[in-house]
Order: sequence, then structure tokens, then C-alpha cells
Amino acid sequence: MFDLFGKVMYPVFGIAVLLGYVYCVNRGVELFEADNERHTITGIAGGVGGGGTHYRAPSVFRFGGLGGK
Amino acid sequence: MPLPSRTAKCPNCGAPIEFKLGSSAGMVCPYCRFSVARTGETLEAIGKVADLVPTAPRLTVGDQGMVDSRPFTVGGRLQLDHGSGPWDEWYVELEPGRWAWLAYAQGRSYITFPQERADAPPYEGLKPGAQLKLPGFSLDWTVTEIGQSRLVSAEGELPLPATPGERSRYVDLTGPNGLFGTIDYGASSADAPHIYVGRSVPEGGLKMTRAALGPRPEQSVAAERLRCPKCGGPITLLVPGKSERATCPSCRAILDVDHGTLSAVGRLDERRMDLTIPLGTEGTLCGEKVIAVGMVERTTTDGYSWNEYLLYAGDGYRWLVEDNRHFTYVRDISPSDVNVGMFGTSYKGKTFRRFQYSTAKVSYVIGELYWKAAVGDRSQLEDYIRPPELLSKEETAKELHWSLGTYVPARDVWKGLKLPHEPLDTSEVGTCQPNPVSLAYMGAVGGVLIAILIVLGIIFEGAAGKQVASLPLKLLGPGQAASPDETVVYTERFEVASTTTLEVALDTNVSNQYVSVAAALIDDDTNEVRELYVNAESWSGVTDGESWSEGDANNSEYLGKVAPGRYVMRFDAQWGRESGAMSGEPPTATVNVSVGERSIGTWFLALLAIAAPLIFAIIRKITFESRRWSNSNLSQD
Repeated sequence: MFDLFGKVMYPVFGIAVLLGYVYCVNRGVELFEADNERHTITGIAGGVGGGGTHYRAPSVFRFGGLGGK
Repeated sequence: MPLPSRTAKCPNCGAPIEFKLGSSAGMVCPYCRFSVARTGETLEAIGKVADLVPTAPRLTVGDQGMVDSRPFTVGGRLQLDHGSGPWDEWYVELEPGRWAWLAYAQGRSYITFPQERADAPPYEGLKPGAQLKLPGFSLDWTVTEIGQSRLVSAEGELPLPATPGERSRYVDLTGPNGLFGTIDYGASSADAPHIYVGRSVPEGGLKMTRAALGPRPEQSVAAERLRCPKCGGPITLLVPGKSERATCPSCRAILDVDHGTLSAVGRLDERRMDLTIPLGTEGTLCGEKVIAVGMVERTTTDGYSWNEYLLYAGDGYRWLVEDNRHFTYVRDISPSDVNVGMFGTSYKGKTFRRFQYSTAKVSYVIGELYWKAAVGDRSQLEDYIRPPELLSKEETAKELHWSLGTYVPARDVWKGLKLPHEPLDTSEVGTCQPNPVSLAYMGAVGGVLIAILIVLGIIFEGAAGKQVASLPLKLLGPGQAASPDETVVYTERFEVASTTTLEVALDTNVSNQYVSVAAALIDDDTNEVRELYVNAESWSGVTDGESWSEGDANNSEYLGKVAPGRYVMRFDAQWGRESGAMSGEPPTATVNVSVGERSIGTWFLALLAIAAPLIFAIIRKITFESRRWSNSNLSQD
């Protein structure tokens, strides 16, 4: 089974990996992207840098900080 | 100098005899079978020679042919006994005064020419495997056989007078590329040695052009006439005229085949070996038509045994070795073509690794064999491997043989010999079984793939992404901020032209501190938000006298599939020390946002995917070889 893979499937598999890599690059796919959460807001009041916004990002401290050794 | 053709009367019986060949110095009178010596003008009767033993010869006196495109005429024949049956040597003249011996053994023809210089090394110091020089030759010759012969009979003209019953000591030699030689030391050390040098004639190199008139010698033993002398059962010889040993299928008597007559010389032991290849099986192996004529079981001193099937291939003999359900097709090679060196043993430019050695004895024989095999015959064996080939050395006190085997898959044996059923599987690795993993192929394919991936990586990963924002973060401790939004910063609006990745790189100077940033990518058109966190921390200290450090002051996080559009990023950073305490000066932190940047992880994942089968193949190949070499007794030394 592995011999068949080695002789026939390995080149096919390898080319598929290369194509997959090119696909990821060209389509903006990031396999190791950060955990992220999507949602939609109503808008940023006053514009960016206007000193106020309706959108509030969560505080890092809701995770209790990182702490050290 | 050739002597003129001469007709004379036999000094014994007076019948007319004729010396037709100029190089003839002796003759056997065809009427009274007296050996006659020709010395100048005189003829001398030496003594009566025995009748010829019928041996199914290929040639007879008066035949003409071509050897290596040179015409020859058969003048006479010597029949010698080396202790294992008669051996014919044909006296042939190629041109007036130029003569040679032509012999046929184990499927090969040999032609040897007398050498003028005869200073040979002493007979007593020679043994099989020894290397020596011959006068006039710069190459090394290897001793392959040492023995004694007895003149049994003769016919026709001869280059030397035949002395009935004369004994002689001989040493057979081989040289590179099929060279062959014999040193005839005579009966005692008082006799001057005669050296004959020639070579084996390749298949097709010997052709008959004209047959002698008159009846020819018996061509073969009439197989149907033979009956077992013990039980009277019929014996059918598969290779009549060449077999020296046979066994009776009815009473298991071991029979000596002596020129058309059989005599019992022993009896097979009680066990009936269930032969994988029934004797008489015909078929094609390695492109040669063969018939299985005999089988020898050999057993080492520590009890390991295997079977060797003797195959007759029409132009000689082959062996098919069955060892643990693995098969190797074996043929003899010239010992002089084998070079045993310090770093391996080579044959025709190929280097073989020493694999095992043993002392083995013949533990069972059945069928027909071309030598007088006997249970208990011992020899020293050494195997050298270069899968799928096997180089084997077999040595006794008097003989040295080298053979070259080629691994044959069991299914090819079954197919070639049309054997019933299916071959049985084995979990053991054969001595010269080819490794099923072809690293050359896998390596070539994997190398090309990895090279392409590296090129792609240079193109894609090396291309700089576009930095769209770079701004310092506000780091204030709790209570220092006048409002919750005081630590929040925004980037300028930036555009993404096509779907891509985005990198948020956090650069800090933390030391036993951390910085945590809550980031948000805000689509200015759709108001869709993607929230993520980027953290950097660096810790160091001394514990139990050992200093340590961990973490990194810089860190990056990535987002994928960022759609085309206009975006703003929002950052809210906090910092702290151990246990969340904030004291002292806050660290500095800068965030850089780039589009078109991605983690190297995707590239590495692709590399791992391509390399994994290669690594697996390497492991599998090594495992296979480990299993092979676990059967070698070299590692047990």
C-alpha cells in the first residue's frame, strides 16, 4: 500500500500540497490565524480619532491578566 | 614444428594407421587399441588402453568446427577420471602445429592451449583460493580446484602419447573475464609441469561445420532401459549423460549413475521432503528455460537449513535456492572475477557487503545431480549481498566456487514454473530481497517538490507585505486612566485591495512584564468587527541558583481572509508585572499592522506534509534493513 503511495500517490500528493500552499497564499487563507471573534456594530460615533465611540473592545483584564513565573 | 602427415603400420597389430594432424605425437590404434608413440620416423607401442566409457560426447574424431571464428579439426580424445566419473578432453588442431584441448563441463566449453614456458609454483603449496602468477601473464590466477586424475581411455590422435592408467596431479585456475588454466604436474615432483591456458567459450562461440563420417558415439543413455538395482522400479533420468547421482522414487535408494548403469550407493533417510518444486518441473526463470532435476538440502552446524534446487538449462546448470520461502536464482561465476578487498567484495564493478558465513553439510539429496553428492559433504560458505544480488563463496579443501544469485520473487517462481496453488507468505526478510522502499525515487520526487516549495516560499514569503499602520500604544495602569477609553488608540483608515492576510505585530521592551492588547479590525463599510488579542511578555530570574528566562518581548498575530474594503484598527493595551501588579515605569509598546503578511507556519506545514512520507520511507527502509541484518551472524561475533 505504501509502495503504491510512494510510486504513484506521492508525486500527486506533493503537487496537491504545493497547489494548496499557493491557494492559501493567493486566497488569503491563514492556517495559523489568531483566535478571533466576528460581530457587527452599528458604527463608530464621531469617527475615528474623534474622542468617542460606541464600540468598546473587551478589556484584556477580563482574562485576569497573564501573570509571570 | 608440425610433423608431416604420415601413414604407417601399427607396431602392435600391423594395421594401417595415419597421423593426419601435424601436431600429433601419439595415437590409439583403432584396431587393437594400443597406444602408439610417434618419435621422428619410428613408432612405438606403449600399451593397450581400455575401451572408452560411453559419455554422450558432443564431438567425435574427425569432426570439424569453428571456435571463436577459427576452424578446428578434432583429432582425438582423452578420457580422464578425476574421482567423480569420466571427463572427456578433445584434442583439436586449429592450424598445422597449433593445437588445444577442448572440454565441456557443467554447460560450458573450455579451450586451453599449451604454453611453452612451464615454470609453475610448487604443487604442494597450493590450495583453493590461492592466487598465483603464470609465466607470460601479468594477471593473477586463482586456484579453483586441486586434484588428481587417471587416464581411463583415449582414441584417435593425441599431442602426447597416452599411457594407460597414468596418474597426474593437476591444478585448475581461473583468471579474469573467463580465462581458464590448468597446470598438469604429472605423477610426481620429478615430472616437469605442463601449463595450459585458455578460456571458457561463450555460448554460441563453438559451432560444428562438418561431422565426421561413420557412426557417432552413443549420444545418450536410453532412459527407459534403466531400472533401480534395489527394487527394479523404473528410473527416468531427466538429463541422461550428465547426471552422476540419481535417486529411486520407489525405494529411495541413492544411485550412482555410471554411464548407463545404476548402482545403489545409499538410501535416503525416512523423511519424505515435501518439495516446493517437484522434480521434473519445467518452465522459464530469469529468461531461461529450465527443468528441475535435483534438490540438495543443506544444514549449518547450528541447525539452520535451506533447499537448493538443481536446474538444467540446456547449456548448463543453475540453482534455485529456497531459503525461508525466498528464492534466489544462482549461476556459477569465475572466482577471478571476484575481488575480495578490505572494504568489501566486488564483482564486475559492483561491491557486495559480507552478510554471513557458515559451515554447512549436505543433509538430504533427491533427484539427479551432476556430481557425486553425498549426505554429510561439508563446505565453508560465505555470502555477500547487494540486493537483489547475492555473491556466494563455497570452499572445500580441494575446490573453490563462487556464484552469483539474483533474487526472484516467489510469485515469479510460481508463474515461471507454473506451480499449483499460491506461494506462501513469509514475514522474514530474504537475504538478498530488494528493499521495497525506493529512496532514490522518493528522494528524487521529494527533492523536486521541496525545491519547488522553497522557490514558492522565496517568492511569496519573501515578498514584503504592506505596512498600513504603525502607532505607539498607551500603557497606563488601573486608576491612571481618566476614562476607560483613554488607553484606546485607532489607526488611520486603510484599504485592502484584495482578499489577503493581515499581521498585527506587537513590539515592546517588557522585562518581567507583560503587555496585552485587545485589537479589533473594523470594516468601515460593513461595520463588521474581528476581535483578537496580541500579547507580549518576558520573564527572567534566578531559581535555586540557576538563571532562567522565557517569553518574548515581541509577538505577532495573524488574521486570514481579510476581504477587500476600508478598515480601521482599534487597540486597547494594558500591562502589568507578576500577579497583575503594576508598579514602576510602564513599558513601551508599538503595534504595526501589515496586510499581505502571513505566518511562516503555512509554508512549514506544506514542507512537513511533503517531507513526512519521505521521513516515513526512510524509517521503513531502515527498519527493513534492520530485519534483514538481524539474520546475519556477523552481528553475533
